[in-house]
Amino acid sequence: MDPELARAAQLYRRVDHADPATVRREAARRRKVSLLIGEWATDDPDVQVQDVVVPTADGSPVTVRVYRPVGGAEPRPAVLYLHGGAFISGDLDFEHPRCLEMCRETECIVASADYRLAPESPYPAGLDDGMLAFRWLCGPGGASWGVDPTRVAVAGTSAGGALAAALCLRARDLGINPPRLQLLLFPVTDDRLRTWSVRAFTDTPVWDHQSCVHMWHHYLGPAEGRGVVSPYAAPARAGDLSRLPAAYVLTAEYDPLRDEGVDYARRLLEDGVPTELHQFPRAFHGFDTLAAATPVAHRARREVHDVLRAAL
Amino acid sequence: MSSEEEFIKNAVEFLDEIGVDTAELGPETNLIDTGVLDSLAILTFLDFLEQQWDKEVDVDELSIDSISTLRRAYRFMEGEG
Repeated sequence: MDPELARAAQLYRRVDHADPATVRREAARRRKVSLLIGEWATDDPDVQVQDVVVPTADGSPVTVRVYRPVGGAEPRPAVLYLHGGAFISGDLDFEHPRCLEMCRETECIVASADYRLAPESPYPAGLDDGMLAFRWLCGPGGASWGVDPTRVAVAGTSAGGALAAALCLRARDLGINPPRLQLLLFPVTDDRLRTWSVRAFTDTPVWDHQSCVHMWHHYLGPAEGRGVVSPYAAPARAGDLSRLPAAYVLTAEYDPLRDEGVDYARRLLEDGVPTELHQFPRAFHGFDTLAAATPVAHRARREVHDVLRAAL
Repeated sequence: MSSEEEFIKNAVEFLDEIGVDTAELGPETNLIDTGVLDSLAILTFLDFLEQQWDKEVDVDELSIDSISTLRRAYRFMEGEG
C-alpha cells in the first residue's frame, strides 16, 4: 500500500454489504462525524448550490443538486455527477464535498442526481433517473442555469461509474446527443465477476470480492434468476463500444474493480474511442475521497479537474 | 470498564496502535482541537469506546465535546457526560 494511504486503509471500517440498511447507516455515521469536526465541506463562497426537482410524466421526480460557480460568463459547460454507493446507498449529501470542489476547480456547473437505489428500486430505476437528469441538464432545465448543452460530461464513481457508462451506451443507442466525455472513477462495469482482481481481492480495504457479490444481488436480483443481463446494467456486456464519448478511466491497484475498469478502457480504445486510463498503483477503492487529505488523493482529484477542463 | 485510570491507559495504548502520537497525550489533552484525531481516527476511537463498554454510541446524538478528551470520553460512556 502507498505509505500515504496505509493509515486510511488500516482505519477504514469495512461494511458488510449484505444489508443495505447497515451500509446506509455507516455512511451516515461517517458523514456525521466528519461534519462534527469540520472536515466535511458544506458550502463554498465561490459556489452557489440549489436542489431542483425534475418532474417526470410517471410521477417519480428526481432531485438534482446544482452547483454553479459564482460569477463568470455563461453559457458554461456542465458535469452530470452520479455518486457511488454500490447502487444501494448514497444521496445528494454523500459526495457533496467532491461536487463543491469539482465546481470550484473546473468552473463547470455540476449537477448531482439523487437517483433511486436498490434493492427497493433495482435496475433500471437508477439509470432511468440518471438519464432523466442528463436530458434535463441538456434541455431547457439546464439552459435556465446557463448550461451549454454541447459541452456536457457525465461522471460517476464506482456504481455511479456503471450508471455513467450505461448512460453513454443508452444515449448512443437512442440517438440522443451524447455527452462529450465519460469520466469513470473506479467504475463497476461487469456483473460476471470473472477478472483476476475481482476473484483475488477478498480482503482489500473498503471494497472486496464479497461486496461485489452483494452489490449485484441487490441491483439485479439473485445470480441464478437474472437471465440475460443488459449492457445498460453492466456496461462490459456491450458487444460494441464504438461511437461512444471519449473516456477517462481511473482505477486503483488494490481494488477488485481494477481489472474490469482496465478492460473497459482497453475495449473502448479497441473500438476507436479516445480513452485515457490512469491506474493508481498501491491505492485502494475510493482513496481519492476516503483519504482526501493525502497528496496522492489531491493529485487524483486535480487530474480529474484538469481532464474535465480540457474536455469541456 | 473498571476505572478512569485503567480506561485512559487502555485508550492511550489503542491510540498509539492506530498511529497517533501519544507522547504528550494526557487525560485533559483536547483530541479534536489539536488535530490528534481526524474523522477516521474518531470513528475508530468510537468503535473502541463501544467495545470497551459494550454499548453503541448514537452519533446523531453525539456532541463532539463529550469525547474531546479522554477524561470526558470516560465520563460520557459512564453516563456522566
